[in-house]
Formats: sequence, structure tokens, C-alpha cells
Amino acid sequence: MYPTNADVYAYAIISIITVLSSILIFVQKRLIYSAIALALVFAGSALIFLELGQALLALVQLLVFVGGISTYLIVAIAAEEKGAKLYSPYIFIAAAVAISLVLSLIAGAVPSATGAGSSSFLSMAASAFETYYPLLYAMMFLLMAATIGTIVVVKKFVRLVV
Amino acid sequence: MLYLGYIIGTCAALLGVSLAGIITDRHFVVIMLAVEVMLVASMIATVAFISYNEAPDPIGFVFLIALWAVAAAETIALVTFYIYMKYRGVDFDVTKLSRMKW
Repeated sequence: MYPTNADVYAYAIISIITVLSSILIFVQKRLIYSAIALALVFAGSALIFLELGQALLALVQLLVFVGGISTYLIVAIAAEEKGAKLYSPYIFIAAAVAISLVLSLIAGAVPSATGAGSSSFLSMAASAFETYYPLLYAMMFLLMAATIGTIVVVKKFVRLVV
Repeated sequence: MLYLGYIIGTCAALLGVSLAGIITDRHFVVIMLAVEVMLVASMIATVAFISYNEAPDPIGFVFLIALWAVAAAETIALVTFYIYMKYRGVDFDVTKLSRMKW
């Protein structure tokens, strides 16, 4: 099955917006704008998932990353931001173009395969939960450890300030 | 379905941009945001390979969940370090960080 022109154009627009948003993260002067640009990258990745036929993953990406993580990041940075970033936009743009070109050339070596169709994500997830549940528990503990670490650090900090 | 090369090209571009950001910037938060973009690139590549595989292995799903967990944990750590460093008066320039504890 070959892609239609509409698919290719839609993907091109989504892809350009995502990559431009990722560039904006590094050329913005204020961190809050960088965080908003990161939210756009997350939203772009959700649209790419949708383009790949994985609607459930796109929904999760939107809910968890755009709705949760980006909001958390933006609120935290907006509340605490100080000063401008340390950066040199010209050096960054030159480096970004060079590295992206090299990586795109490498990516060009990937065979132009088209999938026969989207795999059923839910059936695969069910199988994964049966087989690899210890790994999923390990990931859950990673998140729990991060959250407990945050509470410990913030509690210590609050005691110092108050 | 699109050609797989298109999607891998986007992932390569995202990875290149974030790598350039890490190389050229010294701000702690920006470097952490660059790592987030790298994780997004790997998520897109993972979902693409899952979608294009006619009989995908469930380990791909586990890998994707791992990426989500790492990205979420990294954001939590980023905000915590950011607030902690700001109120401790630590310089955000990573080249000036030489101690693990203040």
C-alpha cells in the first residue's frame, strides 16, 4: 500500500511543525517559551502517532505529556524563572543543521518500507502485560522513586526557607 | 501508510536538533529539555517500528512504556533540581557545577 499525496502532505506539515518547535526550544531567550515549545513537540509527536494509525497512543501522549508533564513544567518554570538562558543561537543553528543533515543521510539508508497496516496496539499491550509484568513494575518503581525523591528534596528545602 | 524513511528522517532531525542543543548550550534546564526531545524522537521511532511490523514483539510496547516512564521521571527530576538550584543560588551553567551537594 503506497501513501497518498494527502498523507504525505499532512505528515510533512506535522513533521515541519514538530522539528521547528524543537528548534524553538533552543533559540528562545526565556525558559517559559522553551517549555511551551516542548509542549508543541509533544503535541506534534501525538499527531505523528495518529498519522501512523495509533489513535490510542496519540491520546495517551496528549493526555500524559501535553496535558500533564508540559503543564507541570510550564507552571513550575513560570513560577520560578529568573534571568535569561546562556546560549549562542548562531552556533546552535549551525550545529543543528550539520548534525541533522548527517543523521538524515544515515536515515536515508533505511529501506522505504510501507507497513501492511497498523498493528493492534491493545492486543500487543495485553500480551506484554502477561509476559513482561516485572519490567512494568520496575518502571512503576522508577516513577515512584522520582516522586518520593521530589518530596524529600522539597520538604528539606521548605524547612530551610520557612 | 507512509514510508518508514520519512518517519525515521523526522526522528533523525529531532535527535540532531537536541544533540546540537546539548553541545552548544550550557544551561542546565535547556540540556534537560534537549534530553526530553531525544526521548520524543525515540518514542516516535518505536511507535513507527511497532506500526510497520506485521507481527510486533510485545517488548516494543514495554520499551515504549519505559520511554514514557523515563520522560516523566526526568521531568519530575528537572523541576525539583530547578527549584532546588534556584533557591540555593547554584549557577545553572553546567560547566560550573563541580559539587554534588551544596
